[in-house]
Amino acid sequence: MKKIMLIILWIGLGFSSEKADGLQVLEFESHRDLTKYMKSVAGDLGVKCQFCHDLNDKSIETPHKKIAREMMKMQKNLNESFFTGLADTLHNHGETAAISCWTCHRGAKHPELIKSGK
Amino acid sequence: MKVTSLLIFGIMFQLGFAIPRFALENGTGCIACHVSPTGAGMRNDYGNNVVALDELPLKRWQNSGSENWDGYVSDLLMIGGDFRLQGIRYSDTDSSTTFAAFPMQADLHTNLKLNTKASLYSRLGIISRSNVTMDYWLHLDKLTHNSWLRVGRFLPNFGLRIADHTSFIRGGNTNRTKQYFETEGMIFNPYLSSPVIVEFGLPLKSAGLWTFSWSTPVIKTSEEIGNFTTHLSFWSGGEYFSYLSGVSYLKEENVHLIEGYGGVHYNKLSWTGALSRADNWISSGLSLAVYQEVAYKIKQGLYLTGKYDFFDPQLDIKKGAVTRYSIGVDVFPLNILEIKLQARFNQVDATDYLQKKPELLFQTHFYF
Repeated sequence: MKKIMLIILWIGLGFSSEKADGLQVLEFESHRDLTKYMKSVAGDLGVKCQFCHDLNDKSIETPHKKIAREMMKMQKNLNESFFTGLADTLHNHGETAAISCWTCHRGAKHPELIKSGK
Repeated sequence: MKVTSLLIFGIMFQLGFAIPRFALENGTGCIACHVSPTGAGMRNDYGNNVVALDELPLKRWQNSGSENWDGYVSDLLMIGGDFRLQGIRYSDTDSSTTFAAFPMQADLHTNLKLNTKASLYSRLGIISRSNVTMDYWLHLDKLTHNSWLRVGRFLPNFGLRIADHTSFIRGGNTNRTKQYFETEGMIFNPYLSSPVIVEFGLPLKSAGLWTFSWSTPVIKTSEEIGNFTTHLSFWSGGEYFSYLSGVSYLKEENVHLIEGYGGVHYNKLSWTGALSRADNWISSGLSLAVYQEVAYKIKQGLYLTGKYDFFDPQLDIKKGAVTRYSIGVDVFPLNILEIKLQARFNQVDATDYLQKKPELLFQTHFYF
């Protein structure tokens, strides 16, 4: 039994050269920063983690996770290509203008895209 | 009369067990919040930083928790701990009462992530100076069909793994009752040593899990492989309704243990129940244990609980069964603290004794 354990331990250590990172869009230095960001996203949409993640295996692709990834790309592109420059030219006081999920979602799963009629 | 005080004096602590009700409420498996793929023990970053911090504690003191704590002390190493204290007030006779308070167990956990597919876990459990237990395993994840393999020293994955070992489906009360019964509960008492084990797990479309393991004996001491355990569980759920169900089988020499369990959660109400039977566990007879728990979530961080436990050591003997009724509250004031208050009534067929005064338990559980 102990021999079996040692063999499997050896195999396990052999895995250890693999990259320990499954992120495709987000860039975070630490796991803690990533979690903080994820929680802020959940708060901005008024949802729990399971809205996008399969909690039994958080690495599993889900339809909402794919949408979230596209939204994050859009947000990143807008911030980098437009809002950062806008802050520099219009405000010129050192602050950076940036949008977040909250900008559109306002605590709702689906943002109100046009003004609702009365 | 002393049988009551002996019955109640079973200390309650955790030995790799957990609170399935939380998984039931979320319609997930235990792995959602725990590092172990079968649940229990050390909490993962989601368990620490989301559930324990935001979803479990009373909202009044929710801001007392630190958002910076997720168990990670570096990008690869997590640590955690569980510490339990208990106070108990009981009556030996109709006129006298006794109070006792004592620490139950301290658990220290570490989990070292080797990469996305492998990790090393250890748990040091200190019951007393002379009673220290240790679990450890290597976990190889995301093998074929998302399966995993664990090798090391830990208890096999069996049944509804509730934290309260005094429930008869686990191990019942500790040895002070043995003068009346050969034993008073099923196999998983708190003093079990973890066997050397190889366990294979196969997730079933993220809504179920099948595990099977071979290990050295759990009941007896031996270096040879002597225990086979398998466990099949399913769960599912949405915002208001969820369920879990499962069945386990354990074989060790001529002892056969089988347990079926289930749970339903609707809105603020949860029910979990289990039926466990063992062949040749006590002498050569058939033993039966029943567990039922109803919990009502009054508000976030506050639960009202009612519990029924039953154990018949030998079904073919008319006397000898034990029944216990418990009511209590379960409070989570902070993200690191659980407080349990419980009143319990015992009924012992062997002595025709029906307890008049309940024993009162006060349990605190610090965790991080």
